Amino acid sequence: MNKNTLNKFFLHLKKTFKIYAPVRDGKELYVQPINDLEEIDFSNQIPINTFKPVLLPKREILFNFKKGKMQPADMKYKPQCGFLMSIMDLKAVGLFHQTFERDPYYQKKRQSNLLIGQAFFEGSGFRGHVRDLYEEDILEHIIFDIMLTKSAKDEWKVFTGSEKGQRTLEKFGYKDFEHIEFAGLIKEEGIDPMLAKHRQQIVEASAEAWDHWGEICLACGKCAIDCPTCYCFNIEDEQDTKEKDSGQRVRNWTTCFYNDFSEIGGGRKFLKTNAKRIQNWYVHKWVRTPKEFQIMGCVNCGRCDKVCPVGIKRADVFKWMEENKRERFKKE
Amino acid sequence: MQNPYEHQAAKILKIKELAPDIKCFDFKLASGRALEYLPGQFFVFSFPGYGESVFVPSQKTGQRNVYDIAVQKLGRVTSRLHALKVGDAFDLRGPYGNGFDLNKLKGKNILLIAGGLGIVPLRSLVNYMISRDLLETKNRQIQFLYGCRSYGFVLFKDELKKWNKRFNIQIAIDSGDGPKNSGMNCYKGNIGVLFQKAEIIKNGAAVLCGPPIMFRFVVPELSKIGYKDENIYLSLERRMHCAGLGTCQHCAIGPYYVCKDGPVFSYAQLRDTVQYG
Repeated sequence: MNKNTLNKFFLHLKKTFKIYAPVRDGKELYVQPINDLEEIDFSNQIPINTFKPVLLPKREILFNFKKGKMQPADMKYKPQCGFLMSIMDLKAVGLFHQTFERDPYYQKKRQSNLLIGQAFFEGSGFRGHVRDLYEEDILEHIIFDIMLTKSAKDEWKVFTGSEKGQRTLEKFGYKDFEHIEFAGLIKEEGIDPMLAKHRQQIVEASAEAWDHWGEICLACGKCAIDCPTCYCFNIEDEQDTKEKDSGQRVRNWTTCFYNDFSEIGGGRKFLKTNAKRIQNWYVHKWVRTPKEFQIMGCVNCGRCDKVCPVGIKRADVFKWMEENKRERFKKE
Repeated sequence: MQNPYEHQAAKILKIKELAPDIKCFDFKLASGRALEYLPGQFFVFSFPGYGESVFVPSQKTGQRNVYDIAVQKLGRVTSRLHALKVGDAFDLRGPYGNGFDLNKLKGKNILLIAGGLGIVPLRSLVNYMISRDLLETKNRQIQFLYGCRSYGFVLFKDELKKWNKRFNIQIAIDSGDGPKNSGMNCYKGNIGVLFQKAEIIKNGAAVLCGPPIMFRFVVPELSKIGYKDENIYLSLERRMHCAGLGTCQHCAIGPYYVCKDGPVFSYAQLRDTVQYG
């Protein structure tokens, strides 16, 4: 598909969907609603924020209540399209699909949205005739409706990953695409050995190690807000100001770093210190998620490294853990 | 697709004040149907405009499909519940969690240990076992250790007296104001005092529910008298939002979710995880 056709396709999608895509602002990219293809940055740079709101709204009404009686929300979602989502962001969608598989709100919203990815052969290590392997190795294991794989300047090879993707392209009148059958999130060879190593490091990390990182971490929650695999939420009742006993039960984004996250009746908190909070974040991504879904909870997009105001980087944490373990071993 | 956040309606039948700010609410489902659950499993109680909270119900002995919950007034949701009157309606969803594994208690000596409101899940277990004739005491020993702030906070006194006819009860009271003629063995001090003053049953399973500080006191005492980590069970309390679905992350503890993998864990499962207490 060339840029001209892509522009026509974009205008076609715009009739149905509100389109979210990466837009450049200075050095960084930000995902935001757009009106024109020209606004989009097509580079493979990872945007600071994520496409999460397309999947899981920041505030979602679960129920309405009137005079104390609960009524399920209508679950009508305006169609939204995530446009030019990276492979990493689409891997995160896979995790969301697992996590929210029994959640009717998520499922209904997913039915209304369209996920279009952009993949790059360049830098992927798949060159020349082995490009076909790219499909097998990467595209088969992620969730998308349509994938634009950059093949030359302003040229994309088009793949579909769902019936919805196929229908969308056919309706537009475009036939030059290949379909890729989803083969599950886990590759045949299992979990990436490097990620498995990280998991072990988190399991074995000492309380002192977390105290060290807790001293540095501000528990601001920026890493979690901008993480494509973070989905912590609160369920809260909001009372209408005008009508007594009426309002909404809503699901709002939060982060596990916030002070009241683990508070129980009477005020006791289980994640009281920043050390406990940062540990919980790492344990979720590298221990709980693999235990539950056999996939890692980190897609390695690097957003957390970039947004951390005190410069905590995952690679540094793992390196430090390794050295700390070696030192402990020496002492023993 | 079923909506896991949807509730069924229930109605309050009776309210009894158990202690200052602690009330017991008898209730039944509006449908009149039975609540299907295992002891130790919990339900999410919903009060529109105030939110949801998690409680462990217990079946009322001798009353068909009637249950109760004992609730301390602490926050927004529990204050709302405390303001309700007989005949008022509320909603609930559940059951969630694993509950107590009765197979692991079968035929074994059982040491029940509760601190404060921790008696609620253990009472659910005891009443469940009594109502199904599972609490035989001929070939095994059962003992209940209970720690309370003051005698006024000893909950379910009438039931405790009945239980005392079946098995041994030892009560530690912080303020030491337990009357001598209560028929039960009351000592001054925190629950740790019972391990010094009373003869504690051994060679069985210990089931604990109470504040984290109690776990920190009691688990080492149990280890000292020979309880294996695998035979020590703890029922944990956590904040829950999705409650039971293992999604919202509020109740995460190390590799587990209290709402899904718990609330009952063996100490063997928890000893290596941070912050079990």
